[in-house]
Amino acid sequence: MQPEVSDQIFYAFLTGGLCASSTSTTVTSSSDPFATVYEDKALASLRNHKEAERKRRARINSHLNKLRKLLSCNSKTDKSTLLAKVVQRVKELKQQTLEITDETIPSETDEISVLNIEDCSRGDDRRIIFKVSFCCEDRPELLKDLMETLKSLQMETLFADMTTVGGRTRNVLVVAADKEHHGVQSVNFLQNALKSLLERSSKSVMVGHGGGGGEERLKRRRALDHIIMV
Amino acid sequence: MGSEYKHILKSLCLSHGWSYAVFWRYDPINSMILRFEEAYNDEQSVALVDDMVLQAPILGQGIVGEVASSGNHQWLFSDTLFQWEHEFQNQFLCGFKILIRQFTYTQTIAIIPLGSSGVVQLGSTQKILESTEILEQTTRALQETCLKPHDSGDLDTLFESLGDCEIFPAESFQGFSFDDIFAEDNPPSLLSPEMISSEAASSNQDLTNGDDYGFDILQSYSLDDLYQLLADPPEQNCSSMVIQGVDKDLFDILGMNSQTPTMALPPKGLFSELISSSLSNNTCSSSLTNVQEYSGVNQSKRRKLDTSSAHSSSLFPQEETVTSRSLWIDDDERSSIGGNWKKPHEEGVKKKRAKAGESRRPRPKDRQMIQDRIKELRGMIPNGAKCSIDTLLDLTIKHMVFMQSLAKYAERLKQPYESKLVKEKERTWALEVGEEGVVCPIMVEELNREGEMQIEMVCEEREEFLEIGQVVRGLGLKILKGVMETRKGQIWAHFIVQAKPQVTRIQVLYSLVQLFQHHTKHDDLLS
Repeated sequence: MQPEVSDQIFYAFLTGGLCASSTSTTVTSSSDPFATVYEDKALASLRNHKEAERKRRARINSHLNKLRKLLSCNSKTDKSTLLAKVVQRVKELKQQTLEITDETIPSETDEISVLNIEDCSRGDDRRIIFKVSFCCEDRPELLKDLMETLKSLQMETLFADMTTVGGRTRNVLVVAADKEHHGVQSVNFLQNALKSLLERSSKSVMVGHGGGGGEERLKRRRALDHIIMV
Repeated sequence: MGSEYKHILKSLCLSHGWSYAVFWRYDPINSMILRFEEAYNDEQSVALVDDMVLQAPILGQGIVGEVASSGNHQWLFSDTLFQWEHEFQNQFLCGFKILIRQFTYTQTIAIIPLGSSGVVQLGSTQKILESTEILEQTTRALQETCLKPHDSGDLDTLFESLGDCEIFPAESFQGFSFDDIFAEDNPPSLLSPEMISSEAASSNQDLTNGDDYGFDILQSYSLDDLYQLLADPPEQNCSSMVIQGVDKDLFDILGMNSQTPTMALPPKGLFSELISSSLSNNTCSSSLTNVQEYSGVNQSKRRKLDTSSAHSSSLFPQEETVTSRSLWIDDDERSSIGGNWKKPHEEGVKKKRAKAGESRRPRPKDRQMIQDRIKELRGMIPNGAKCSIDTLLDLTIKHMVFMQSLAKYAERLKQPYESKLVKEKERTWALEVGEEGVVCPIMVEELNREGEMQIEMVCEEREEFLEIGQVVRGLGLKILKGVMETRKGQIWAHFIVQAKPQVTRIQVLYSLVQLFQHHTKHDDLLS
């Protein structure tokens, strides 16, 4: 009688989580010579699993509390109501930002675009013109790195437009290079140089997350997403 | 105010043997011109000082103007004057005659720059040898006075006062833990002389951390992050020399305050209120407003600031229940050990939720709705399709914060900035008189009360645009918009920036003038 009651409680506990997860445990008879070894392993595995699940629930609850603050919800709002409000709010925000048609607005993902402008180069046979557009996380040394990059490539800036919103920044530049040193293939040089520029921005952001939970965040940080358009 | 400067100038003269001292400040309307502020002189120097008062040195011209623009002091003796005659005739043709006249009365003349505060000019009938001690004492004494907050109605002064007052709450966080602040037996004044002394012993890093701390609050969206910041502020080096100078002077201000009990900060109620406001609102604006209540800003201006504060807070509006909840969490954290305070709260919520679920709706239906909502989010959030639930929620938070910034930006695009004519008095510009008439190479203008400024500057070369941007970033400003454009045949750099409260227009202009002078000299060397 007693073992049956324990098993029932055990199964009910496992199926109570947000994501259903089940572990089957076989209760062996006491006459088995390896019973103790199996039991110890099962207990250790169960303990680790419990700990991992507890941490995961803590992370989820932390995120849910942040969402409650963002939406000014009561701290006791249940999960389904909160998620419904989140979905509605995201839809509203998308509707509002659809009106923005300015190409200089930063995007949420990193982008690099390098175009060789043929029309402008007709007037001056000695120069080749590129239009550069990139978007990344904002950081204090970004302009300094950009200046050094353009100097090393011996490119002159003819036009510049930069916009920073929500910690993201986009720079649109028109640069000129001497045809003696550069050609159409310089598009690749520019792309590679800007790619390293964006990677530094990404690393800067990750370093900024150092401290509490830094290790987990580093692991979790998704790979840098480059959308390269030629 | 004037009598205060006079007092300082007098003490400088008496302690080092100067016959007269004249204090020049940048004209509030035209910062390329230095304006007479105050002077002290003995009986023999009356005529000489009266003569100087009539002058208006121009930045870069004359010996006073040259010192102001170069930032290097000049220490001259009458017996070595003729060694410099050739150089003076070339560079200071206008000022040379005045200099000759001055030396008929005096043997020593010293002209010392005070950064963005102005220039001080000293003269003596005796020969006073140049010493670092005199230079440092003179610079520190006058800069301290310039940075002290006061009740003048001048808008420039008001903004500087706002910047100064912002430091006090940040400073208080460095020295007190939560237990100290909320202890019942705390003395009436939290900033005791011992505390000030111990704070002064530490480096500028503390104040810098305080600034970053204030800034980080704006970025924080959860109390957990806020507690981490309070426990261990991040170590960051301040890359701006101007900011460092300001911080250094502010330490001295605090030191001076400790010597006069009447000027001590208000009792602990203020700090409890500040901490409570910061915790509940997650903004710095309310702290600034509360501080202003004690610094004597009059009623109408305080009302303006309150409106501005409310506007800032509306970015993340908080319901009243959230406020009470925050305070409750705070009390709980104070009374518990380490991180254990979370568990009782979590258990309580869990129990209540289970009970509510049982009584209100069937559990399967509730769970199905949750799954449906999560599926919807996966389709809406970028990169949300294949990831775990906690990662999906994290991406959702980031996405919502970013989209809110975009929506606010779009809203701003619809509302053009108020007419510049209305803001005429708040504009600070630098003037250069050239053959082509009057050209304004640098303009700095306040756009609104949220710390946004517009900067326009001539670029002699196209590469200067990125250099100017780098200087602006070095001051700690955030570039919201930057454009290089051609206007009337000249290349202009045009920026809209967001500044922290303690950065003033004068400081921005001063840094840009330094950059402008650097480029001009560079061009001269090339030609």
